Amino acid sequence: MSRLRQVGAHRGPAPVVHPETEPFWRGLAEGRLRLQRCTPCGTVRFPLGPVCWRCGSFDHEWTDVATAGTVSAAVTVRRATGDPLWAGEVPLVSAQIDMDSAGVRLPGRILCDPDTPPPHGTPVDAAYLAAADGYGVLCFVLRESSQEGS
Amino acid sequence: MRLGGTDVCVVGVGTSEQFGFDLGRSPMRLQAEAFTAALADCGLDRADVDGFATAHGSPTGVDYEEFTAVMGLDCRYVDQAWAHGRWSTGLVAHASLAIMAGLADVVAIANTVTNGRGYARHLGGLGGHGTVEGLRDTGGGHGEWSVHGVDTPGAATSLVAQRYMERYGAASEDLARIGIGFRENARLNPMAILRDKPLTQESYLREPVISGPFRRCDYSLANDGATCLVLAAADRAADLRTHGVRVAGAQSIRSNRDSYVLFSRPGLGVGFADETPLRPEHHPVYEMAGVGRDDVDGLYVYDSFSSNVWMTLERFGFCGEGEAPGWIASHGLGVGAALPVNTNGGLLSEGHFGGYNHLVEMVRQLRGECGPRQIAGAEVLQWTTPWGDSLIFTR
Repeated sequence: MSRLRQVGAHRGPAPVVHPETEPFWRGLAEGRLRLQRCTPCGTVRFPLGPVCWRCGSFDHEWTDVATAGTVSAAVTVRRATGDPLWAGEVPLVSAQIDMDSAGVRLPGRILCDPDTPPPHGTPVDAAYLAAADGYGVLCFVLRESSQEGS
Repeated sequence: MRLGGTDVCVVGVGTSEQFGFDLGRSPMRLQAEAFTAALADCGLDRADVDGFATAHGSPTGVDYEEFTAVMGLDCRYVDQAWAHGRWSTGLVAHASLAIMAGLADVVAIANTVTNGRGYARHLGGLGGHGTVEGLRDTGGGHGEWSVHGVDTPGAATSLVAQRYMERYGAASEDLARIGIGFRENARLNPMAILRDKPLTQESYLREPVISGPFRRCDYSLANDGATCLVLAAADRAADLRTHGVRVAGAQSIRSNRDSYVLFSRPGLGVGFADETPLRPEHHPVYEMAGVGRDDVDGLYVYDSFSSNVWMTLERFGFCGEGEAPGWIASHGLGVGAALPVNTNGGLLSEGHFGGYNHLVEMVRQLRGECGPRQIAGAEVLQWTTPWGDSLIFTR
């Protein structure tokens, strides 16, 4: 599996990390996109949770998933009307990304020009922003700029 | 809906004396006004009320036990949901069931909203930013992900609208028609907060974009005010001075992976769900009410954001998949339309009172009290939300 690039520092609110979800957030800071895969039925799931939504099993392992995805929908948030922590970051692009092989849709910012948020179907790659306490926050970069950097 | 041979009616409705951005009155004061008005409406006394239900608790609203203590009520049935605007069907259905089951004779459903620029600024305790649910492992119920900069229902819902607009080719002009239509309706409603603020395509498009395709007029209002509905069994209603409006049918919120993002609709492919064609759903609310969709004389939609109207029209089959923008352009939303929608002005222009203001309007319409905005011959009115719950009130 390809490693995620760190593309900056997370400046929003700290993620709420607890022991059952820590592998996801710790993995990002190690450049790994890890999700839970159900041991009996093989379903890779999101959101993070203790049970497989498909078969109900509690048995799972953390697995590295492919980092390529495509934009389902992306918007430019121009005004920070919630947490003032975002006031210095807007305009920002945030999106829902369909992951090509894991079969899940993941949320995250796309680090790109906010005046041209990418349309549905645009290829992107997962990356991460370094957060406090040794965690990472998932984000995405446009496929072309990702290749420039590799 | 009926249990043990009992029908339930809304016998009284009331609101705070005013709706507004900053009324200078506490949540308790506003709720007491609405409750007192609803009792006066039907001629019942405080001592007749033995059931109480609310969703919007402190600090911006009033918790149930505060209210019964301050109002001097003695209730044998109480219910309090979660301080979100999604429980209007649930509170009415549960209160009706409580009356049918003999848990209460008269239930008052009262809800108060105050906002950070209104009375809530005096109350403190408005902790957190946006919705705290955006920091759950599952994100917020409107699709918020606070760590990713979509930490408000509006930013999250703008993703829903963006997906819809790209998938079906809708434009900003289509979104604008929703806000404009409800603003026109508001002009006929003396209680509507934005009754004197005309909105046109030109003025809409001049507004700055806030998130995705959303401009200011795609957002419902943040405001102060209160509503109250009083429910009783139909035989009790017959003795009162108001005409009882029957709670004829109900269906709950649908909750599953495909309904997680509340202001979307199944099949759109937001949140955790697969993108699929819109599949027809069974809506038992019609059978329960003994009516068909074509019998509906007016539709009331939870319009916290403009695009909710698209989701609801399609989910309930008033038009086909992707057809809502065209349906609105050709049918209109006004009192004179074949199917008037949100004749009160909706959450977008009357004010955001959790949808209970729509229910108050439905009761007044079915009593024929709405003057210039009266739907002629209104006998069947439907309440709907994008997340699938519904009520039908009949005359």
